[in-house]
Amino acid sequence: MRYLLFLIFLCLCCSACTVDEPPQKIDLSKREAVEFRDAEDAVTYAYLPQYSHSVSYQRHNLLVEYLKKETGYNIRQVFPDTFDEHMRMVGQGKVDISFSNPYVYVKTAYRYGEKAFAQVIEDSGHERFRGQIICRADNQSIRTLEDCKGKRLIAVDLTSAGGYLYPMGQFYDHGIRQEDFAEVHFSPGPGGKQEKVILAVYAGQYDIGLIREGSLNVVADRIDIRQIRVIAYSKFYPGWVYSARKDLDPGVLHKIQAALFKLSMDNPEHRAILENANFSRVVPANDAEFDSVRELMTVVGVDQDK
Amino acid sequence: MMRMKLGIRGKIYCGMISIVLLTGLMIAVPVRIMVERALSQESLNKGMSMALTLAARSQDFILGMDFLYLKEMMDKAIQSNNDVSYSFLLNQQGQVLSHTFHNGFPVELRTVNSVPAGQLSSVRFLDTGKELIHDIAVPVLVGDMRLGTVHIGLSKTRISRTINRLQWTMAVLIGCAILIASLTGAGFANQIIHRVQKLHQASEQVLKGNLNVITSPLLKTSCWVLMDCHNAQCPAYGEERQRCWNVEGTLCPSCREKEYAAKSIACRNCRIFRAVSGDEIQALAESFDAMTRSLKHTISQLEASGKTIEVSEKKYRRIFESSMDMVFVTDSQGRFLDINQTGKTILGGEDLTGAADGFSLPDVFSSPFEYADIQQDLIQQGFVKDLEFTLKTLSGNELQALLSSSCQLDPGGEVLGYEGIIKDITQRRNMEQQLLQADKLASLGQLSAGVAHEINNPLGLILGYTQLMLREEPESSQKYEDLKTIEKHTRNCKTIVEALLNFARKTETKKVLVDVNCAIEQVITVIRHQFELSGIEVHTRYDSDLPQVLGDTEKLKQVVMNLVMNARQSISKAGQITVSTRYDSRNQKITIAVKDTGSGIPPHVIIRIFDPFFTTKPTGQGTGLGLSVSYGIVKEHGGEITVDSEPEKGSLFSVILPAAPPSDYCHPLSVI
Repeated sequence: MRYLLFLIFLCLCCSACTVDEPPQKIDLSKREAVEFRDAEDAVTYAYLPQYSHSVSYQRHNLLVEYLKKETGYNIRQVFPDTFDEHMRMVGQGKVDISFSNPYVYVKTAYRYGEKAFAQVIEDSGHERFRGQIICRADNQSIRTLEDCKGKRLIAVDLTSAGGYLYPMGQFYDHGIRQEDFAEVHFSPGPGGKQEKVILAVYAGQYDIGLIREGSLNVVADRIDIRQIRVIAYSKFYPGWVYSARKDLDPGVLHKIQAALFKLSMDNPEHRAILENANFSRVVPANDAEFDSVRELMTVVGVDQDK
Repeated sequence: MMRMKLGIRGKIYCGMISIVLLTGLMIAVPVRIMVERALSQESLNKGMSMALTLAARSQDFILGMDFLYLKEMMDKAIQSNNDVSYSFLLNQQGQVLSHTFHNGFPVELRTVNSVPAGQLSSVRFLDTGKELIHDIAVPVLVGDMRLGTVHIGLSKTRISRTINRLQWTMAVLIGCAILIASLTGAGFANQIIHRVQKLHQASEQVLKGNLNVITSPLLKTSCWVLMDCHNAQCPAYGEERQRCWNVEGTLCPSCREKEYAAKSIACRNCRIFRAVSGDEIQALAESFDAMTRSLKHTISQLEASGKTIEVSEKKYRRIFESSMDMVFVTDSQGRFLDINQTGKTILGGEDLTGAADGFSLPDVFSSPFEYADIQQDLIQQGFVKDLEFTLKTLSGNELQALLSSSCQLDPGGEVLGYEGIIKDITQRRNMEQQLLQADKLASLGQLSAGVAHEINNPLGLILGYTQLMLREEPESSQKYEDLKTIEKHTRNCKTIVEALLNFARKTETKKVLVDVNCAIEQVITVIRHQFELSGIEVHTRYDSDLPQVLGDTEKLKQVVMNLVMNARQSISKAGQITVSTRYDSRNQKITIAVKDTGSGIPPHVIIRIFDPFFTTKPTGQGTGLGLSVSYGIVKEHGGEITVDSEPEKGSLFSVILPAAPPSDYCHPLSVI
């Protein structure tokens, strides 16, 4: 009988047991007000959001950290949601160093007096880059640029160089105007615009897409890029450009400029930074080098004030 | 404090309730633990999934510093799931970017669950005092770079409520099961207890001696019904309480008549057994009834046997006890287990059995070697017959005895004990000794008489001629002196010859009625004074009813004188001599006892004291004929003389004479 009672007692003890570890006591009554402030003396660095913020962060975080270390300035990367916001922030003086496409630069230089001080050399070794006109590989109705007439078109942004201006210039060179398309649409929402164009074509939502060369590799791990066919390439135009706010301290600019020019693929540390940022070198640049872009804008009918 | 033991009813209740309770608990406890674990794990998985989603979705908003969107994400997280108590987001530096708390952010929560570098999540169990919370922390990663940490607080309250509901449900179910078990148990218990009580009452009746009890209930069906049997000769036919395998002598063709136990085993293969068996208490009751019947039969047999055994026991006990010889039974060590009254009398003790260290068979033997020899014979032969040995009594006296004994051996040859008879032959041996002595003395008497007769005449002539020659010789002459010497020694020789003739009863005896007391008194009167001078007290104790004896007064006085003088000589200094008489009316004998406190007679001497010329005195101080002559006189009077002596304590001489028949009485003192 006593063994039976012991068993019942044991069962009751077990039933009282819990599977959790013993809890840690915590007092939630002690509260504090949350306050978040950016450092006021920071030099802001913005990368035109052609990709999502996280891709922008991944690509340029090492570079920003390098610049911090090299210049001794508190350089902070900021993330505008759209191209327009990027330009707006440049205009508002919230972006000290802007890394943008030539199209945006031309606009901000025209509007806010931005000054180009450096240009990147692409991984391919070119100072210039081009756009691509893509469709689904299985789309038999589109073989040539002529076939694109009457089709639904999606581009990255109205202010995108590789994802709008350059390939659209290619259409204009072949006598195809924007109104010849059944529909012209731009990537929705903030960031990730190049990927959205590719995904929209891949999904069949649009017949043709305009992207900058190299963007397909960005989504190669998400979709089978063999399902995407390149219909045509645009001409080569100047590549991405570093520009500075017009009233940026020349001393600061000089240090940043020197640090950027110092980057070399021969230096293992620099190599990692450059590979992460998807370019191989930074070279000096001046505003005149972007006149070809200004001419193309005129051809396509872009109004720099808008 | 004495605890009252549970009855069968209580035990059945307790057993059933315990089984149900234990079973319920054994099911409920693991189920509760499994459910709790599953719910907790599910909740944790859900929380983890939510935290991972928040971490993934918040990357761009953290980078874009979109606090509104971050706040919306945090708020939606707690709105989408009731288990989520809070959510908050920390940046890389541990600063709070967004949270769902009102009135500020809890300070301790910021650091309570940090995710170490390289780890993808961390869960910490927290007790806020109001509720238990699992804090799930997931880092917000961009590639290998960490932007911050998302925290989700999952309350255990809902899980606890679910568990509690489950527990209560199970408790109610177990309670219902216990109730059902109790009711069912009560039904079973009553059935069993009623029948067990009946058995108990029956067993009490049996204990009281009443074997006429029946505990088996009426059977629902019987073998003779199942077999459609009409054999009225079968004892199982018509039996309504006993199943057939419990009945002896059944007459079924398949039945093998054996004793009850064998039959009950053989019946197990019978189809009737398979059809009717199964009720254990019924079987118990029938077995009980069969047992009482068997017991009753056995008791009656035992009673009959007991009576026979009792008669036999009495008979053999009577033989045992009335035996004039010692009969005994011993164990292997010789300790007496049983001994008859004669044996106790011979050995001189009453309590001779049972004592572990008491008087035993080996102690009976005067010589240990003698016992060892007999024991060896007993073990080798199994018995001994009429072996003579010297028996030693408890008081140390020695007796001559004959032993006939057998040895009880177990199958392994080990001695279990001894049984035997010891016959006391001391008296017979004494008589034989006396006869031998008498024969010897008779031979000596005849020889002495012949010699004395031949010498007596020459001695007469020598004495006659010597006296004649003395008359002729002057008294002062040398010759006269020489002749006187011859006369003196011739007279001494003559005295000896006369004594020899007296011993050999060759002298003339004049038998008259003698008052022995008077005769003794006359002797004592003569010697008392002289003895008292030597420091020897002489006491007399006469039997006033002593009858007269027919004998020669002078010779009897000579006997008394000889004995008293012998007594005197045995006392070296002071001492006592007691002369007494006693009458044994049953045997018509009188006894004259002369007892002294002298040096006593050694055993090796005592057997020769009546021999002629045997003396312990120095040469020239005694003839050695005193006791021989006394022996001859007593024998001449039809009596006997005995001696009982103990060295250094004294001797007792007893003269036993036949009393004169009353018809011979004339005048008791006329001859004195």
